[in-house]
Amino acid sequence: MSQSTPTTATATPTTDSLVLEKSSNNSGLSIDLHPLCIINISDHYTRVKVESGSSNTRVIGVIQGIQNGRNVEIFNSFELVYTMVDGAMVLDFGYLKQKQEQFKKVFPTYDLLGWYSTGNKVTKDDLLIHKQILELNESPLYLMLDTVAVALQTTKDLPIVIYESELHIINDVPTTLFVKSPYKIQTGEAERIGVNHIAKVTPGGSEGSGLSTHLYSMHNAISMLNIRVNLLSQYLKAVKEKKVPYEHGILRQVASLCNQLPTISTQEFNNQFLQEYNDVLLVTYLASITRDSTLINDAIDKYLITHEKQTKRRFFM
Amino acid sequence: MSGSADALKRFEVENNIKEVDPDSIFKFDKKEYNQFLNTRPWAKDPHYFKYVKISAIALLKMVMHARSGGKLEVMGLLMGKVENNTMIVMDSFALPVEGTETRVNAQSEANEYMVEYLTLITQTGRLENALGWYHSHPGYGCWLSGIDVSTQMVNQQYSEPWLGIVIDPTRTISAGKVEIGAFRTYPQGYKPPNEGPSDYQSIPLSKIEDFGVHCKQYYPLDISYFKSSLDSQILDKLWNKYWVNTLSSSPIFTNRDYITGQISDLSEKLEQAESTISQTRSGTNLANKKDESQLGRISRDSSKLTIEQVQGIISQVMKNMIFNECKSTTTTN
Repeated sequence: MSQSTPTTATATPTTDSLVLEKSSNNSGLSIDLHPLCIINISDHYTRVKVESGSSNTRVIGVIQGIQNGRNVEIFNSFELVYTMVDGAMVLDFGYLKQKQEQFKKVFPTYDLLGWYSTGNKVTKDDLLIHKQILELNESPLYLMLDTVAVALQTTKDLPIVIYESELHIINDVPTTLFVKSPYKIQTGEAERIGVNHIAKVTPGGSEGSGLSTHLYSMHNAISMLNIRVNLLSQYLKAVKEKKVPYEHGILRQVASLCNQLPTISTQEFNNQFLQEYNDVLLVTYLASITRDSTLINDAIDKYLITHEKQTKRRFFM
Repeated sequence: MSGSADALKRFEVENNIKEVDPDSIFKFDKKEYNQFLNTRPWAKDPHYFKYVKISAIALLKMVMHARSGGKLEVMGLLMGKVENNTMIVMDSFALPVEGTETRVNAQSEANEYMVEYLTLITQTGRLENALGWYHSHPGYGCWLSGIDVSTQMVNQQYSEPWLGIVIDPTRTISAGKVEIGAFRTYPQGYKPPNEGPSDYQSIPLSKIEDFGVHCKQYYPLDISYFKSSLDSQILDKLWNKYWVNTLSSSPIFTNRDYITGQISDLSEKLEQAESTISQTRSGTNLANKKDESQLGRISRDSSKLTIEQVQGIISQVMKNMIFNECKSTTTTN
């Protein structure tokens, strides 16, 4: 993603050799990343930046989550304390252990999965930190948040890269290299609403039903889907007109995507769907009956008040 | 997305979501702050604090923690500062306490954890102090119970400034927006000025007594949210990734228990209302004012429930249209 410019390449010739774009023996790790973790890192960075007053700050911390076989889910993170010894970062392990224990008390299922940092390219220092983390996790992940790219608005993608480390023999010397891993954004239901809440829409206050908000976000999601589908169909057209080379892998994926439609079309699903639909209609019906009876009750009360006054007046006359 | 940028801006302005620029809210001046604290302006006016600002990270942490508790109440602490009559929540953390029903209470073990946590966190350069506590009310709305009121009152006596936040994770999911309330109690014996009707919310029959007895002992604060410039840039980009989740979510299924519970609660309330109405109808109509609102409240609750249900079914129908009824269009594209 970040091809280094010639000037930096000459200045730090070793940086490129630390990262492998694609690994020959892919570990097949599937990584899910939660927004909470990202926002947490962003918060950490902002806090340190404002406190120190310079935008050239670097923060590090560890990432927490659950690993189940080849599936890794990153839920949370916390910051780390380090001291500079001879120009190298040394982590405060006493602090880390204590903090880890505290974390375990509240989230007993979470383990330490790796560490995070801000920056835009992997350096030799990163490797040193990585080796320190190795004491706590055999194969830690390294999550990097590129704060510069975010500010410059250069990429449309999330400026986050997750690396795994791999041991390679280069010139008969075993060297640790970072390998880029693909990851997915995963949100829980409450988390999604929370993220939506802070990101944009959701009206404040307790008034308002949120129906328009709901429709708005549905609309956004569907138009996003539409954009993606259009992109695919454009690609297919281009292939058909022989503007783009015919690539079997992609076409196979497109075909399998199309074959998934319709997603569910069994009688069973239809029945349940209808039942659900009818349930909602029933709830609507009940609610309107309740509302009607309330209104009628109000009307009766009003009638009684006026009527009673009239009779009283007549009585006194 | 770029087309909706204007609409988004408008939304943010309307909904008090402010971008802190240039992130000055994250700055913390200890000396100045302590001076401010020493003036203790809140001691003179029990209604001193009126606004709460919550950071993106604090909100997310609280919502997720509350949700992770399921039907149990969970609790945690807020960290932050005050600025004039605004309380600013910068961060929050969970406490290892789980309660049932309306009985969340910080035990000694939690206190120990709290102290440990707060001392440890100063090492990372965080200067803010504990600002209050939060806990969850899964499924029964954001208000303070009797025990909550006494906890809050004690804390307001000894560790001012102190704030209490309540989150309802179940209703959050049902309504599709974060259900949250921020409260402070009045000092003992203080008679609040007769204010207008507070924001209405539905409270289950089993809790209504607890709510009614204590609801005059505290007041809600206005909540707004803030995020850093980096946060908002990341959130913009995040949308490119997580829009799928909007489509794949279906509140109608995840919250079935809650919906059924709400309906049965409503029917109980209706029965109660029926008996009181038939009694008053035969007598004089003096007490009518109150009964009207009782029925009115029920109808309002039921309408709210219906709207949530309709929302849920709308997404289901849309998804059905997109993913299941696409046989004819596949060839034309």
